Amino acid sequence: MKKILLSIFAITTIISLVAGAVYAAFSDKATSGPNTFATGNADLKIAIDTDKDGQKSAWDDSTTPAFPERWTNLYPGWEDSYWIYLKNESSSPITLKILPTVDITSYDIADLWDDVFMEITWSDGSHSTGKYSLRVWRENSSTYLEPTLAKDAEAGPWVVNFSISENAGNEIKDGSIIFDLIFDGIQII
Amino acid sequence: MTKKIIISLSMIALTIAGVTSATIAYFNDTVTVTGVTIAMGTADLESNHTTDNTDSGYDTNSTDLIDLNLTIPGLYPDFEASGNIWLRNISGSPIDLRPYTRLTAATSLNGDDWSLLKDQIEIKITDLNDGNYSLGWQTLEWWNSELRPISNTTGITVEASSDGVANSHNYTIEARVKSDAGNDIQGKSLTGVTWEIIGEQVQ
Repeated sequence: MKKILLSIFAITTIISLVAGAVYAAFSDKATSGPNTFATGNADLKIAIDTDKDGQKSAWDDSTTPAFPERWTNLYPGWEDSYWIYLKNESSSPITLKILPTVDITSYDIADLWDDVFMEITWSDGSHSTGKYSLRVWRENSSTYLEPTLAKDAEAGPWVVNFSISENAGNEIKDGSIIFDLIFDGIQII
Repeated sequence: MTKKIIISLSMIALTIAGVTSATIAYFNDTVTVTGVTIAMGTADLESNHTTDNTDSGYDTNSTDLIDLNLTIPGLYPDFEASGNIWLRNISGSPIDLRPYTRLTAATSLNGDDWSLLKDQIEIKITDLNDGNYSLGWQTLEWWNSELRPISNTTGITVEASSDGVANSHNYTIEARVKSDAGNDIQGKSLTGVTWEIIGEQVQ
C-alpha cells in the first residue's frame, strides 16, 4: 500500500512540473509602488466649564476643575456639577464613541467609594448615563455618552453631576476622595 | 479520528477568537479631568454649661456631660424647678442641625425609685429662640423611650450672625412632680439623670 501512495505522489509532482513548464512562456510584469501606508491617530480633546456660564477652558488632553474651595466641607445630600465639552481632533477620518470611567487616586475613608455618586447628562437633563457610585464607574463602566463624535466634531456641554448619598452619616465625616474622570474615545466603524 | 476532529475545531475556534480580538483594537484616545477632590466636613453641635444662663462657655468636647445644677430636693406634688442650656451649631459643613434629646441614664438610690418616679416626674423643654417650640410636659419615661426633637424642623442654622458669632438657641428645662402623685414617691430620688443631645442634619 505504501508503494502505491508513493507512486501517486510522484505522478502528481511530475504533472505539476509539466504544468509549470507550460506557463514558462513570455511574460512581463508592471509594478505599482512603492505604496505608502501612513497611519493617522485618534485624538480626543476636552474643555471644562466649572462655573457653567459658557466660559470653557482651552481644548486640551487633560483639565482640572478650578474650584478647590467649593468642594470642601461637604455633607450628605450635597450635589454640584460642572460642564465638559469634547472634540474629535483625530487626524484619521474616524468617529469616536466616548466611554467615561473613574480612576480613584486616593481616599481616606472607603465608604466614599459607595457614597459619592456621578451622573452625566445633556444640559437639559436628558440622555442620562444613570447615576452610579464612584465604585461602579471605576469597576463596571459600560455606558457610552451620546452622541458619538465624527472627525472634527465637538459636542457639549455634558453636565457632570456629583452628589453625596443622603443615607450617608458620620462614617464619612472629615473624609476625602480624589479621583480622575477619564473619557476614553474609541474608534467605531 | 474523533480526537483529530476536535483538535481541528479547536484550532478554528482559536483562530476566530484571535481575529475577533484584532478587530476591536481600533484607535482610541483618552482625555482626563484630573484631581477631582470631594472633601467632607463635619456636623458639630456644642453646648454650654454655665450657671449664669449666658451664651458663652461652650464645651468643645461633645462627650462631656452638661451639669445643669438642677437639683430638686424634697420632691412633692406640684413642685417645679427649671434650668437653662444653650446649643450652637459650629459645623464645618454648611448644614443646619435639628437637636434631639433623650434621657439615657439615671441612678436609683433605692433600687426601684426609677420605676416609681418615671411616670410621676415630668419634664418640659422649650426652645426660646424658635417660637417657644416645645413638646409640652412629658414624663421621664416618655423622654427615655426615644429621641425627641427640641427645636422646630428648621433647626439651628449654621450661618453666623452679622457679628460673626455662631447662631445659638437657648432652652429652658423645667421639671415638676405631678399634682396627683401620692405617697408612693416619698423618700425616693434619682441622681445622674443624663440627657443625650444629638444634632441631626436638616435636609
